[in-house]
Amino acid sequence: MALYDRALPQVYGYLADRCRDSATAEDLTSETFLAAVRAAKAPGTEPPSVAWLVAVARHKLVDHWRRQSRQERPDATGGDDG
Amino acid sequence: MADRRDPFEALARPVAPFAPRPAFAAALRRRLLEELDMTSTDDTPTATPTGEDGQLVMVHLRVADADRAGVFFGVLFSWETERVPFDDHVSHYTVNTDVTVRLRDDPGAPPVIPNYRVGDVAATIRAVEAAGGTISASDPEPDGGGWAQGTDDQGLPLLVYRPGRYHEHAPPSRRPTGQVGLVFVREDLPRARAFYGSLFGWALQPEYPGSHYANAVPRVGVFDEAAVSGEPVPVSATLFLEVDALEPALARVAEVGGVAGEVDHTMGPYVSAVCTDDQGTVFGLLSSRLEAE
Repeated sequence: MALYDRALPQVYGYLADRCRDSATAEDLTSETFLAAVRAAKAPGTEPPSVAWLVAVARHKLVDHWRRQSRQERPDATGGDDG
Repeated sequence: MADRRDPFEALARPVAPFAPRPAFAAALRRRLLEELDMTSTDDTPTATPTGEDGQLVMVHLRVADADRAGVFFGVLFSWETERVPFDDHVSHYTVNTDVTVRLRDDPGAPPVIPNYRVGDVAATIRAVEAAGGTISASDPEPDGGGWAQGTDDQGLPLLVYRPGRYHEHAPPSRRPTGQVGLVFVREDLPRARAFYGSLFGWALQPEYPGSHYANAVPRVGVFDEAAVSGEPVPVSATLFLEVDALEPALARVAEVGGVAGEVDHTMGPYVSAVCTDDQGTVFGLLSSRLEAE
């Protein structure tokens, strides 16, 4: 768990700086670390690094924005245009 | 929280480390440990721990009277300690903190001594001396165990030992409200990088370009204050104890007879204050937030 101690402020800091609320930042931080633990189960996987975890966090953030965008615009196929 | 007007720009901004709420950090840690336990039932190799050498495992804090300090910090942080009398002094070892704190009333001891885990004490002694440090006392064992105390090449005290031989004590009955948060070292950063890099493999990379602070391992950081101020700064180490929220903890320090310091906002993502106990022992407090929720 040494990596967790080292990476947590980096991952959370990255997300907290980009999310609208701390609850979302915490959710995405949890998703990031759980994804890392599950990925580490795969045979031959390299041990994760802080940089890799931040990259995972970035993907989680983009996914979150996409979900949020779909919720804000239920008709995402162009219905607003006309 | 920042608004996301330009998501692409937001993605590219540098990482600004920020500690989450301690309760969240603890809950996520428990969840990850549960997840890791699940993996142990199959044959999948888990990530091999790296960098075990050089992890902080104990901190010695010199006090005037260890029994009195045990009471003070016991009341302040709900610390439970084990009292151990030595020939010429008494020590209290915390038994309910993640990193052990040894309160020792040995007037000849340095104010703060970080203790690091090593796998081979004899080899570490050789490495310390080869890197320009000194060993003042040691008891290495043939199997690699034992301990050694000395200084780094700048004169900062350090102690290394291989954990695992300490006798058992009664299980703790309560959780502490103050944990070892940071051993804040003031010394020349490039020299520290060379010394501890050769000894423990610490990278000691600045937090961001131009920064004079570097995290070493969890709960240890090095600050090159002389490089910032342009004036000589004595080499030192200060023990900071992490609390849930700073202001209630400061009020509690004063309530139990200590002196609460001024709130400082310059320590990265933390708010902090340097305090003294009821005997004049200097210690710091830090937290990710000022007020309790």
